[in-house]
Amino acid sequence: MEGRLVKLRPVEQRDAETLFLWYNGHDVMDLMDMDLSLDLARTMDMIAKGSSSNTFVGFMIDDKKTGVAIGVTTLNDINWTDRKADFSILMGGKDYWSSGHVEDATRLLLDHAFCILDLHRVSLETCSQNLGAIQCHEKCGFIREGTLRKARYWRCERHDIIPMSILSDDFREGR
Amino acid sequence: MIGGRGVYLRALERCDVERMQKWINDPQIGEFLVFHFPYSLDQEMAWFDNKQKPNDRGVVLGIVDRETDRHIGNVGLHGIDWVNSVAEIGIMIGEKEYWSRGLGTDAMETMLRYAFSDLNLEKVFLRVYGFNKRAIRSYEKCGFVVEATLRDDVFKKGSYHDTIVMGILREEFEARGG
Repeated sequence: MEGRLVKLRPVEQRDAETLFLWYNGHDVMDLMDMDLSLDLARTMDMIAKGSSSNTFVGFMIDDKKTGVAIGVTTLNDINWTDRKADFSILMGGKDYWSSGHVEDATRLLLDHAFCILDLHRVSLETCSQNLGAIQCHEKCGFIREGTLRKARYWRCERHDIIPMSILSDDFREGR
Repeated sequence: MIGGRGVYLRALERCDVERMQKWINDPQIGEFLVFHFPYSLDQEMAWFDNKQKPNDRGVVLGIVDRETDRHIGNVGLHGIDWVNSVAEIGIMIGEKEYWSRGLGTDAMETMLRYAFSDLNLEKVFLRVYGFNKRAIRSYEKCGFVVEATLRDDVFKKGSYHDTIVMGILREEFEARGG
């Protein structure tokens, strides 16, 4: 799948080391519910399991200009009865958050979720302090659905979590 | 055994399983639950056997009416997250003649006291379908606050419905007199 700035492609075993480094190089709060003890072998195992699962879809995000992998985006816990899934996106470098690459990748993945998989709802959760991420998700059409008070403990403090979602109708209107 | 006012909570036994299977297959009850497929007695037994393994991720207890000593429903803490000290609570009154008699609220308060005073949790939350107004009212009575409305989160009875997320913090529960 090709957008303006990025290309989405399947995750391959050769991406394991890149993913492993991204996951471990990140601020844990960005990763929310990620398992903290992820090692390279488990990363590879995760890729193998993901490619054979019918409740998970994951793509590497390649920069169109350089051809280099710059992030990964996924739909997790796809529920076919409720036609919903959880969305995640992880970028390898902070600079991509303001350059339009995240939005481009998000739109491609949402297009896949709504127009190929026929999902009805895509949701995510983010820390209330992560204003950059919230703004970026809003730009892509996600709407805030409330505030889960003091739901996470991180660095000596309890933090609020913001659930956000986009429905298929929202996406089609905004396209 | 964990004591409440009109009810007490106790561990589930093998002899309870048949009753529980009947409850969750009752469409009037299933309307409010997450199950999609009819549940066989064997499946329910397998669920029970699985629950007997050592596990600190959750606990499901039977609700017993003190007056009649009848097992009328279950209440459970699910996916206990020990790092964040948060758990999700779920409750079901399976014997329908006990609906709207305050025993659910009683059982809920008993489980909350257990969650905060014995398990040392900081927050308990729940998810309830938006059309389940009776339940939402009873959760508010227990001190839960609406925290989010997840739009079109679930498909039931031919259309999409919102899921309401409600939560109560330890300090809120204690301020109500625990």
